[in-house]
Amino acid sequence: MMMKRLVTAGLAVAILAAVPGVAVAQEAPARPTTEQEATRADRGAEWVETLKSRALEAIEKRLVTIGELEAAVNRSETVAADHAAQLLNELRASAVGLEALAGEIREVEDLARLWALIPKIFEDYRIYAVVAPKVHLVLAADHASSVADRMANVESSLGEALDRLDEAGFDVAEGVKLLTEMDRLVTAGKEQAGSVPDMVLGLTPADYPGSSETLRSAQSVLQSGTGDLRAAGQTAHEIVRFILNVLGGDSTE
Amino acid sequence: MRRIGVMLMVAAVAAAGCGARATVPTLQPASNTSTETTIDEPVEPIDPAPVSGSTTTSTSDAPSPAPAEPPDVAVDEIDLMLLDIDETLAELDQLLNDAAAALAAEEGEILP
Repeated sequence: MMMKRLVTAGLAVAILAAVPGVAVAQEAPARPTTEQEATRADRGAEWVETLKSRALEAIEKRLVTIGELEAAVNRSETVAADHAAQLLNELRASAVGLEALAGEIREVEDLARLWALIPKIFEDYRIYAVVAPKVHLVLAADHASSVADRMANVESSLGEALDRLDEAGFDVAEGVKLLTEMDRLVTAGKEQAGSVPDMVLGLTPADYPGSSETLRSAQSVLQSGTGDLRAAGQTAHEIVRFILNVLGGDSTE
Repeated sequence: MRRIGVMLMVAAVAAAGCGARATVPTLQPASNTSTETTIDEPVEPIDPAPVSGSTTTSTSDAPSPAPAEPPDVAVDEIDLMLLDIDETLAELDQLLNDAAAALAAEEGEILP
């Protein structure tokens, strides 16, 4: 009986000896020292500054891109006036919005607020995912339409030349066949290029990520139209060679 | 009298021979007429060949003339237009490359 009491007392002492240690270990985080608090605050401030710096860098990068896109639109001699006006308005609005966002980010001090502002750089503007491809596709499409117009002029001149040769008694059947093919290619190229601005001009950052598929489709249509125009150019060269042969006496009746 | 008759015949034959010889040089340039050489040849235009108004370079050795006078076709102008179009097509290729690069670009990441 005495022995049993001694064992129980020994266990109790052992438990008491162990428990305070556990309790101290559990309370340590809840009661930091001032040094620990300062370190944590420093790390938090450092983290906010790092994020702010990266966010401002990202905005600056986008502002530079917007400047380059504006320059490209202004430099283009073939972009349609209404397309240029729309693109420049959107670019300016994006620049103004991003500059305002940069101002907010510079002033914010707490991480939670910063955390809420940063996604706006992407989600509200989509400069790289939507705006830049849209601008480049419209510029290229309008340029392709301009090439198609110039080709139509060449086609007209070639048609007149073939008419004169025909009236003078030369056999121009092959030339007329080539001219018909050129007309088909120019028409197809112009139609495809002309459809691209309508496909992409209405896209906004809110359309992302679905916008990516639309942009890729527009690119595919433009590439096809450009292929037709390139083939039309080659056909025009063939017609010129045909006319030179006729004038040289090789293809006369 | 017979001698006089023979001398007259010889003279007539000689005169005929000289006449034939005189016509030969005028025929040779005419048969080899080309746009490059006719300008320098001081030969009478006995049978002027039809001159093409085109800008083609080789018109020599063309014995059979065209069925009609070749019309005035402004091939040079059309060539210039085509050169202009070739340049604009090259510009279009550059714009397409810019668009492809823009489509390949990503928004990027800020958060580490």
